[in-house]
Amino acid sequence: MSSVLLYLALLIVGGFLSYKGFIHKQLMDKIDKLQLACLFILLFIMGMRIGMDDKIISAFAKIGVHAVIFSVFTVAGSILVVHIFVKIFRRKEA
Amino acid sequence: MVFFVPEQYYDVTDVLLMIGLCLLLFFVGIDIGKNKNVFQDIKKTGILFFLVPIGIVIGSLIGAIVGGYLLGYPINESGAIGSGLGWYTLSAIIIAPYSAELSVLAFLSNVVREILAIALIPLVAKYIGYVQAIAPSGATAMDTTLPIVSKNTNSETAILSFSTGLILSILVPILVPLFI
Repeated sequence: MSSVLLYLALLIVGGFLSYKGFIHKQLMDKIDKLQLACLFILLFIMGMRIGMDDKIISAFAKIGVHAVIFSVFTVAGSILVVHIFVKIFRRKEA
Repeated sequence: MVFFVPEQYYDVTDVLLMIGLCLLLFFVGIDIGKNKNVFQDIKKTGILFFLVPIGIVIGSLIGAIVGGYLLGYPINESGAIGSGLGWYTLSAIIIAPYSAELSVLAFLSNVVREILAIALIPLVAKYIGYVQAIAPSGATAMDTTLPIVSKNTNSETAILSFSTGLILSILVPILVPLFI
C-alpha cells in the first residue's frame, strides 16, 4: 500500500510542478528522452535479473503461451465491458 | 549474464529498480502536466470520460482472472497481470521484486496486448463501435495506439482515447501493487 501512495505522489508532484510552470525549460524539452533513458536502464536491469534466474530461462516456452492467453482474455474482457457500458449509457448515435 | 554478474548482486537490483521506477514516474507526471489544455479537452467527453476507463479496468481484471483461473494462477497474480492494462514496462517493473517469473509473464502478456490492440483497433472501430475501439489498448491509448484510434475513428473519440489512456496510466501504479 505504501508503494501505491509513493507512485501516486510522484505522478502528482511531477504533474503539479510542470502544470504550474516550475520545471526548467531545458528539463521540459528533454523529458521524453529522460523517460526513455530511465526505461532502458530499468529494462536492462530487469533483463539482468531474468538472466540470473535459471528457473525462468527453462520456463520460457510455457510462459509465452500463458502470456498470449492472458492478453486475449484481457482484451476480450475490456471490449465486452466497454461495449455494455456504451449500450447502456449512450442514447445518441454511436 | 550469470557468468558476468554474481548472484549476490540480485538484491541490489531491487533497490536500483525502485530508484529507477520513482524517477520514471516523476518524469511521467511532468509529461502529463505539460499540456495546459488538458482540463478543457477532458470536459467535452461527458460521462464516457469515466465509464470507458472503468470499463477497461473491470473487463481486463475479469478477463485476466478468468484466463488465470483456467491456467491455474492464484487470483492475486492474475489480477496483477490484468491491471498492467497494456503498460508492459511499468507493470513488469512493479512485479519484479515479488516474483521474477510473474514479472516476465506480465511483461510478455502486456506486450502481446499492445500488439493485439494494434491489430484489432481498426476491426473493432468498423464492426463494433468507435468508443469500443479504445478498449484493447488500455493505458497505451494515450500515446502508442492513439494515432491508430484517431485514424480509424473521429476526433471526439481520439480525445476520449487520450483521456482514457491518461486515467489508466495513473491507475496502473495503483492497481498492480494492490494485487501483490
